[in-house]
Amino acid sequence: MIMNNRKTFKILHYALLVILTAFFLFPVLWVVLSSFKPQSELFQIPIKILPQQWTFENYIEAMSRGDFVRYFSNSLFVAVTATIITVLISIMAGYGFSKYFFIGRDFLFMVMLATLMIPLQVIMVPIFLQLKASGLLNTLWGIIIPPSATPTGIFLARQYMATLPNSMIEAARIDGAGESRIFFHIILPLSKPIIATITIFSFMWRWNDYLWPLIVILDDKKQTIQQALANFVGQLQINWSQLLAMTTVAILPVIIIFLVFQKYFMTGISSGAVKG
Amino acid sequence: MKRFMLSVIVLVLVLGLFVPSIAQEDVTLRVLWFNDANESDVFLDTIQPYLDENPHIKIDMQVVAFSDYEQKLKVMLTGDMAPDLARVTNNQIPVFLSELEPIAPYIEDIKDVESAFMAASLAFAKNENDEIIAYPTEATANGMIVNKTAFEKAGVDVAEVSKTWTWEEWEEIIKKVIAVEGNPTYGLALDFTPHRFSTLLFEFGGRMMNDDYTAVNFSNEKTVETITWFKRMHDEKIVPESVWLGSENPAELFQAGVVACHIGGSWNINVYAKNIKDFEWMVVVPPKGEIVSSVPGGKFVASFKGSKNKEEAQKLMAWFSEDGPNAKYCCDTFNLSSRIDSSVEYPSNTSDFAAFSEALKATPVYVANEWKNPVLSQISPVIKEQIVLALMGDISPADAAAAIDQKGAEMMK
Repeated sequence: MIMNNRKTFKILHYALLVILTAFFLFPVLWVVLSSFKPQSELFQIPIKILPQQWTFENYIEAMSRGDFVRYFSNSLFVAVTATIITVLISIMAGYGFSKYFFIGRDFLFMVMLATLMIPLQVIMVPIFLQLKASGLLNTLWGIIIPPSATPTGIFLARQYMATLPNSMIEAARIDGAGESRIFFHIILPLSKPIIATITIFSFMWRWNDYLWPLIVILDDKKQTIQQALANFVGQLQINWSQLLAMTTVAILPVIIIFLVFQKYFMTGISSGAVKG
Repeated sequence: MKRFMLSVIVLVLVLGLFVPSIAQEDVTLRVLWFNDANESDVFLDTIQPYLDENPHIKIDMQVVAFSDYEQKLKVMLTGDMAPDLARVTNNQIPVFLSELEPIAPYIEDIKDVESAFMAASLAFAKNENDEIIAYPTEATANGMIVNKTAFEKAGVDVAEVSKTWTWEEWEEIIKKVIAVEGNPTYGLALDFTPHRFSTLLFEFGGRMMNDDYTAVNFSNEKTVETITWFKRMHDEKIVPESVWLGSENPAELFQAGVVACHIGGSWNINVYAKNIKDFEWMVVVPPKGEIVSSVPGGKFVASFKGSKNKEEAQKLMAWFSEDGPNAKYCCDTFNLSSRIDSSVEYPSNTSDFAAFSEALKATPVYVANEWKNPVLSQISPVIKEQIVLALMGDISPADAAAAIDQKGAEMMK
């Protein structure tokens, strides 16, 4: 009886998971399939999921509308470089906030978290002036450097590192290890899950970032992929076919990054979420 | 020989002295642009002969998505980084009015410009001192696009009847059209914007402002009548509720064959010509109400008071606005020209463009003058909201008009 109940529960459990997966996957699948439809098929009623006439025309035309190879390279450079810097800063700051005791530590942590409350739109003009004064305007480094220290990344790292036993660090100190040796040889290898989590988040933020590059970049050649995608939406017309085609291409890197780091991802997230 | 050598040396020295002053310094014009389709590419292609003639001029163009264009331009102006040339819409001109550079000081005779463009387009391009501060490039017009096949199935020659039809006649015909099996379910879709709604409003003899444009005035008999008519069309299922009371795009409904007529803009020609394969369509002059009216709009090129190379930018804009380049630009972007004397020859859909032009020419000047007022753009969300409330039956059309007037009065204070 108990075995039967367990079996039924398992079947229901999997059925629910399959339904939820299909529910979340459907919009992505629809985007991908629609990118292979001619524009005239997009608005057909009744709606058909599969293209009646498969075409690569949308991809070819979209690629000819701009230097998409360059936009992808720009986005890739920005996302990878910014992620490396963000991970380094987050891990170091998280370690400092969780394992070092100094006056005003918690206050500083709260101040840092409070910066999450300021929307970018509010500080757009001062940021523009700052970037202009510092010579970062219209450079890819202007997109990378200023938002590198993310409060969310530091928060996640701090929460995770608080779970690492202090006794381990103290033992290393007694054994004569220096602070940098402790950080690089003990803390860093133990922080793989949170590094993977911040890597996924940071890559996704930077890859999908639109507003910051919009302020910083003044030259078409330095555009990121998100800026180029937005250009398909005009005042009076939207080129849905080409937008869908390039969106399909643009989501690939994020999926790849997630697949590479996913085995650490859940551990990192859950550790950061419940311990503190 | 000696004399010859001496002459050569003197010539070289003289040239050496003069050449730096003859060669013009390179000027890079920073251009800010937004696209609906291929306008940035066509602009660059159109100005290529000018660049060939003036090799010292280089173009550094940035294309920004329309949704963030205004924001970007504001940030650039605040940061003292004004572009040398920017594409702007008629709605954006009032926003940047004080920043735009008048064109008169850079051309021989301003009357040449005044006489070259349609009055409705020029009305948008003037500042409070009546100075022209932008060159009109392409014009947009609102009009009626019909599913010709659906009318044919109902035995109606829409090309013929539309020459003289009134709104009463249209209503009678459209009921016949949607009654035919297999035909569109609905008669008319109207874009969910006050700008497109105003096409109906002006046709019905309504006004949105008073005669001297100093106050919002929706509470007039004809405007209230228009809202009442529009509500009746919704109640009788001639107009689908999914557009004004939902979020459906009427252009997509028209392309899907769900509605028989679409009151939209001239830019739809481009989209429909590419996408509609299942039925024939055409642009007709809208039915006559009190008057026949379109609503003009358009795009412009302008330079700014803070632009670093405004003199060269003004020269380029003046050249770009001449008939030849303007006709090429409008032809390749599939747009109406703002020029009166335009020699544009479209590769197809000539009669559709002509129908829009005809409606535009019949449009009274007060239509542009009303839409030129920034208050109307600012209260657009209120206009939409109040009309929606009236369509839902929550308030009467007269109350909706009164609420719009009240908000307008607050904003004009």
